[in-house]
Amino acid sequence: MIRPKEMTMVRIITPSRHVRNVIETLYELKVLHILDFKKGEDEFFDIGKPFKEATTYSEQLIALRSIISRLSITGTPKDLKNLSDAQKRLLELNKSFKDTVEKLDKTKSVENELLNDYKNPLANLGISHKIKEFKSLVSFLGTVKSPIESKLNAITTDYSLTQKKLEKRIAFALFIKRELGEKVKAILSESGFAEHQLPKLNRTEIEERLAKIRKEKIALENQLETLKKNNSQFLVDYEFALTQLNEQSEVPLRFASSKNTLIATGWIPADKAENIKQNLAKITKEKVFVELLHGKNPPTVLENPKMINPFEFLLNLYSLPKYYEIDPTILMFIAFPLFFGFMLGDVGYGLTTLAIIFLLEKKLPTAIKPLLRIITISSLSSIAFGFIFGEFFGYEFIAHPLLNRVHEINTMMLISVAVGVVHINLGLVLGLINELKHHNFLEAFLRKGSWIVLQVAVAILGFGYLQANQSFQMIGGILILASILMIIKGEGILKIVELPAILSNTLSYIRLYAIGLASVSLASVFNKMASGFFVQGGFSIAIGIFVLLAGHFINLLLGLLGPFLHSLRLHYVEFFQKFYEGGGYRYSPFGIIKMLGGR
Amino acid sequence: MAVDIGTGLLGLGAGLALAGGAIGAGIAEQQIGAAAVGAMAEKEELFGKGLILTVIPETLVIFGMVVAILIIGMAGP
Repeated sequence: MIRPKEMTMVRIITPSRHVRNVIETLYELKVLHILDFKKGEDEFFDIGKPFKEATTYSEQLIALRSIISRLSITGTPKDLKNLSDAQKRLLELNKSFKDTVEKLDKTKSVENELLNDYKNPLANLGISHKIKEFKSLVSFLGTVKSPIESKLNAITTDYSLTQKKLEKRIAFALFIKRELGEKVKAILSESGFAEHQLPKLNRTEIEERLAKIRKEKIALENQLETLKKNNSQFLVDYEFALTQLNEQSEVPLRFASSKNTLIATGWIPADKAENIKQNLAKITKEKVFVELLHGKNPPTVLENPKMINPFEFLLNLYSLPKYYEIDPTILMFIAFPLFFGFMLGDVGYGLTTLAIIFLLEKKLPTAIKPLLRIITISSLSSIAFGFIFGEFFGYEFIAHPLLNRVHEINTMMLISVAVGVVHINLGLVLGLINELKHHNFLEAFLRKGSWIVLQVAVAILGFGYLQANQSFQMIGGILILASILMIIKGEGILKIVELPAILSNTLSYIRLYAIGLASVSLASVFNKMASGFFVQGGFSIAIGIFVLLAGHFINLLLGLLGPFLHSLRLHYVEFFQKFYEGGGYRYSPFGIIKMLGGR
Repeated sequence: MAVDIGTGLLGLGAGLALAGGAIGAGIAEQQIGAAAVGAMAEKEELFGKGLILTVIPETLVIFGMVVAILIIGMAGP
């Protein structure tokens, strides 16, 4: 619980003729986290060869997945009985699918072309596109911003101009003597000329063709839709089956092999070792050799009871612990809801959150289930704190609560800092334990314990000043110097820069109080506003109710977001920095697959 | 409610302390936030880390608030 699950490295040596059995067994057991053998790692071994079916499987998978992603199919896979039938069905399906998609793409590109023609400003000038070039005449086709007729009349009257006013511009076709071409160009560029080609069809023709091609498109889309409807379950099932087969047939690529043997190396949970040994021995009639080794850097499996499990989600958000590290999930399970409750601390808000979660739980995706569990636990804690502070939607429903957040400012701040001191020192102690894995006690103490000594020293010094007691001041000063020297010795001279950090880290816990205070003040402000309306009576009562609902809704949102983030932050920044490294990698055993359509 | 000028100045000072902390935190978070969103666009898993880095300067506001409360404490009950 406090440490990741114990792992052991295993090396499985198999004669070639048993390879298939061994791989199938390993696949079913789903325990081996394979360590890939890399080419050139050893002079006597090469990577293994995939089974000969691997090519057919992967070819089929490519076809299958392109259909699945194009039709965006999803579903839960079931077992598929007859694989050779499935292969035939896929071949036929793929052919008709490709056919339809090709036709559909063609219609789409034709439609686009037609639409472009349709938008052409010269479409309705009534000039045939067959007009090309003349010996003595030059043609200008396109649009201008301002009319050009008067400007043309200034140079000649001998031209032919067809024009049509559009929304902002004027479409025109101008034919004029070739020798005037340069002058006309100048006029046109003044008027904001944009050249266009003549469309091949006129509008009515385009509209007719568009209607036809759209009908074709819809028919083809319907075809695809039917194809999807009739085959989606089959496609999902077959993808599932094929992915499994494919993974098995390609896995030798990750193993080392010689002419007659195959060597698989990987990590397994230590308690599964015997089980694997027996299973493999049985299936190969004692022809396989399983060896347990001491390897470095095992993968991490967090192992926590179901209750605590959801908090692994918060840990994953940060980084998975290394195998040798302490797994802080259980500490988060204890501290996170306490922090959250201390900040939100209101019976009404806690109950509302619980109700919302209860209503929404079924509708939200499974991926955020852990988050919901965390919020549920935190809401319970905030109800409990609500009774301590005597608050219900910001209203003080207990006359003399255990603690009054609004008035007992100093007590609340002291409690917050005290929580900080405990939490940070807990972190330092955990850090010390972590360091003991790599260093002897003296070194570990210099690295982490020195910080605890520093805090004690500052406390003694402060006490000395408060009591005006010189000997306490002396002891405190000496201890501070000693602890700084220890820190330099243990963590290096650069850490001096971080000396004030321990103070700011501790003070940072005052947020536990500050955020709660903000939340309760806001709530009571809304209550006061609403009661002002209620006193007036009549229609104002409706406004008062609206103010109450809207105000508390906003405050609840803030009150969930703020305490959540800040509770998380206190863990990540202040707590984890004292001991947590992270950077472990996830244990992902052979046999657990990811799918495109499935799930 | 009439207060003497000394109390008024104390109140002003408390407000300034909190405002300074908040503005400082805002300036710091603006740059971190922009960078964090950029990083998240590249790699979505960085959401957790981005969020944490973004809220780090929020401590400044807390310090501002502590100072403000201390100043208000000077004004007496």
